[in-house]
Amino acid sequence: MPIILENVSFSYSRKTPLETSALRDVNLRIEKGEFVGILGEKGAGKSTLTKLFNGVLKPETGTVRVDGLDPSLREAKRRIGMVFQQAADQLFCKTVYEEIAFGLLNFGHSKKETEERVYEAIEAVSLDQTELSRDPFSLSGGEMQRVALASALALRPDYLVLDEPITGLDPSGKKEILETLKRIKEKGTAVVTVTHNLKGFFPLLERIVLIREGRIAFQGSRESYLEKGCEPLPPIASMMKELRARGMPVNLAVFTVEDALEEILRLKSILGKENSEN
Amino acid sequence: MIRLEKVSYSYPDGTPALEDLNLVIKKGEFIGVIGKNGSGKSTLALQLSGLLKPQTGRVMIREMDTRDPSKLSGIRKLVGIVFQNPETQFVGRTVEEDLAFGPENLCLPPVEIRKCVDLALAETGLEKYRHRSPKALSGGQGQCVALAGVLAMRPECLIFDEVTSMLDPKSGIAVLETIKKLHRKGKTIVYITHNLEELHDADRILIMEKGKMRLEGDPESVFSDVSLQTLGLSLPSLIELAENLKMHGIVIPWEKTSTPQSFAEEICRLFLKT
Amino acid sequence: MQEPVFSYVPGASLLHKLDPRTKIAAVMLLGVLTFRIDNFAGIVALFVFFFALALLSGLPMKVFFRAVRPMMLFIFFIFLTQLFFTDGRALASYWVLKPSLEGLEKGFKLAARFILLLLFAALLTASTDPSAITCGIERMLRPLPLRWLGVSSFELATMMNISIAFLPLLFERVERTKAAQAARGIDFVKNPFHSVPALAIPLLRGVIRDAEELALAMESRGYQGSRRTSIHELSMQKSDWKALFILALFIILVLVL
Ligand SMILES: Nc1ncnc2c1ncn2[C@@H]1O[C@H](COP(=O)(O)OP(=O)(O)OP(=O)(O)O)[C@@H](O)[C@H]1O
Ligand SMILES: Nc1ncnc2c1ncn2[C@@H]1O[C@H](COP(=O)(O)OP(=O)(O)OP(=O)(O)O)[C@@H](O)[C@H]1O
Ligand SMILES: [Mg+2]
Ligand SMILES: [Mg+2]
Repeated sequence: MPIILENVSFSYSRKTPLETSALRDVNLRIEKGEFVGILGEKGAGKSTLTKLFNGVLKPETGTVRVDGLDPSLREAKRRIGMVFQQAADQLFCKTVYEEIAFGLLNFGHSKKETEERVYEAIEAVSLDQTELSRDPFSLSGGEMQRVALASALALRPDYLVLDEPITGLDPSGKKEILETLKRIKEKGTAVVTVTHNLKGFFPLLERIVLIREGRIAFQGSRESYLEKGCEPLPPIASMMKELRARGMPVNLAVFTVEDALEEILRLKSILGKENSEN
Repeated sequence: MIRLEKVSYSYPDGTPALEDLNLVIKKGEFIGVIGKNGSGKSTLALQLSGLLKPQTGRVMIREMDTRDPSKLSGIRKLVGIVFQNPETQFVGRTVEEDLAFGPENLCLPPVEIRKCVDLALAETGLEKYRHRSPKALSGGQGQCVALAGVLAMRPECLIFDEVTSMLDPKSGIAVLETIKKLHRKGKTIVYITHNLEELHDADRILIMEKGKMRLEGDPESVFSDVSLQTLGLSLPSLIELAENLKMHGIVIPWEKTSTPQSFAEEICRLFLKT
Repeated sequence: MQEPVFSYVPGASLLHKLDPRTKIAAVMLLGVLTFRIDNFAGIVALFVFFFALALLSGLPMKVFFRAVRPMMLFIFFIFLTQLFFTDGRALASYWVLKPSLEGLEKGFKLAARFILLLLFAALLTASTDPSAITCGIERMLRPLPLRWLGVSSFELATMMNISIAFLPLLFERVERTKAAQAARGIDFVKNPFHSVPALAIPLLRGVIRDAEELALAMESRGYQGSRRTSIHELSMQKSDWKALFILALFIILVLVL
């Protein structure tokens, strides 16, 4: 069973003069085992959307169901692992170990199981074991981000909802997290991620949801996203778009360096032929 | 403008963050700082702005020692910093109050303060949010408020700690453009980032590792340094593509690798010429 | 999500444009007045005055009523104590409780006074930028010889600012920590005995951290606790003097009534 949002709207500071409408008439389904990317400019409503998934915010109108359950139920929360946009806001324990173990103990896992999973989780985000006894508040920005990710990964949820999970990570950290996400996705976990990092995430995304001013402006496959000319694009894809705009017969569905290399070489040979024919 | 002499710093809990760091930042330079998580970039930023004091060595900001309490107010006027986490930077209940806080401390007259605030709001496109609480904004909008808070103070030297991390590509480019404009006006810029693409036009790039300076040079030489990969850093896609194309005899000059537009233009020029 | 009570609502009305000092002084005077007058006519006059000002502010009435609502229970309680514990002609008699006519009158008056006080305060906060209020207070305090007490009016103003800002900060911490804990399986409704202590300690640590961060943030923007200026240019305009004059007339009118 999926996560289903039907006709969901949400406003902040409701019924006050500062009322801000953040989402309007959102209809969305997240199937088990999917990899979905939520894109959009700043203030579009992406974080608001993710907070509706796990019941931190309640929709003003419409319904949200997680496997048929109300998202504020504990049983629904067990199925959803969440990393908020500001990793620093989500940490509250005295040590990194307690932080990662918190959810596990709460959901009734044994001490031994918890310990195993904590070690597995810090491995997945490449944190050093010596960090386990440190105060999460005294970590650097990127280290906090890793702890926040580890605490969600350790729960092995059915749906992993991430709000910009790789911001603040160094490039090798980004690569490792992307590998990890790919791996757990293959094991059947649905990954829903808000991201601005298209270079890293684009190759992984199966479906894209583009939000503009609180409404879903596009949702569909990566290929149709490219065909429709949606923005933003990863640097390589936007270069391909520029080439096409200049009349070059290139394929738009290219977003890795390797494919781009091939495509440009192909372009060169086509143009070379035309030139020699003329 | 700023000089670090053998600076070492450990946090109160004993975590070493900087070790024997030497660095000279010249007036009007645009310096990019990169490095792994926990390599000491943010700590360096706090040292450069005089908010943390070195345990050994010294930090001189225009010949003012940051450890000298009598120099602090002078230093504050000279150096502004935007923190890594914007939420930790808000001091006002409304965006306007937050932006006015710095200029108020500089004892500018009200008319002047209003001008600074309005300009900073315009530069970051935040006019609409003037009366909102800075904490009731989205992540990216908050980041823009943090930036505006320092822009409003118009310091000589500005330190930016991952200020585009929560921004979509379009807003990120706009913010970087604003910063480059300040640089062109002669301000000294220290720009910390994990996104190497943003440092294409920097005057100098520093790579930090475990509290030390590991590598230093202009962008072109740093990006082509073989040790980049071993430092856990990866090249911007377009530069990587250019390197790969070079092996097939297609040479894209360095300046053309900065944006997709210039890159595509160059390819068209090369291919249509023959 | 907590509803913002006593929050500022930007606008361009005459009331918004008055100098904060005029408004602060007016609210203080009206506050004293509400507790000085003892006849219903005066109270009615004050309500009428409030509605006139509220109309002038151009703000929706619910902005002001929102300020009263959370206190309603308290006000009702005061009303009841007055009703039952004032000696006088008994209205009726239930068991040991004897509501009296005098009590009814006193209860109504006292409740009305509290409501008026809240309404006028809401009028001030809704029509004045919060930083302008503190700036106004700072300027009103400046002539006082505070230096003898070892503080400057600037420090006092900042302290006031921060303590006003602190409550929302605390609320926010609570919201965030709750959200973070709920996401990882704490059930606040079903299991308060476990969840409340689990919230308290992180909250304390969080608030300490927030305070440290706030101090660093203020320092980074040059705050030194000494003289500072303000974005709000305070100058008493003609309209301010007019407003104070009208206020004086009104006060005299009410006292004569
Ligand atoms: N706590 C809040 N109170 C009032 N308005 C809010 C609050 N949080 C967000 N908003 C507003 O709601 C809208 C959507 O915000 P949201 O945080 O969902 O954006 P976002 O897409 O996550 O943006 P970003 O990429 O910058 O994080 C924005 O206009 C924002 O100003
Ligand atoms: N408040 C603190 N207390 C104790 N240790 C700290 C504190 N802040 C940072 N550290 C430690 O100091 C070292 C350097 O941290 P710093 O924040 O400077 O790293 P950084 O390069 O900015 O990393 P990132 O890219 O993750 O932001 C790290 O090992 C970190 O864990
Ligand atoms: Mg967001
Ligand atoms: Mg940092």
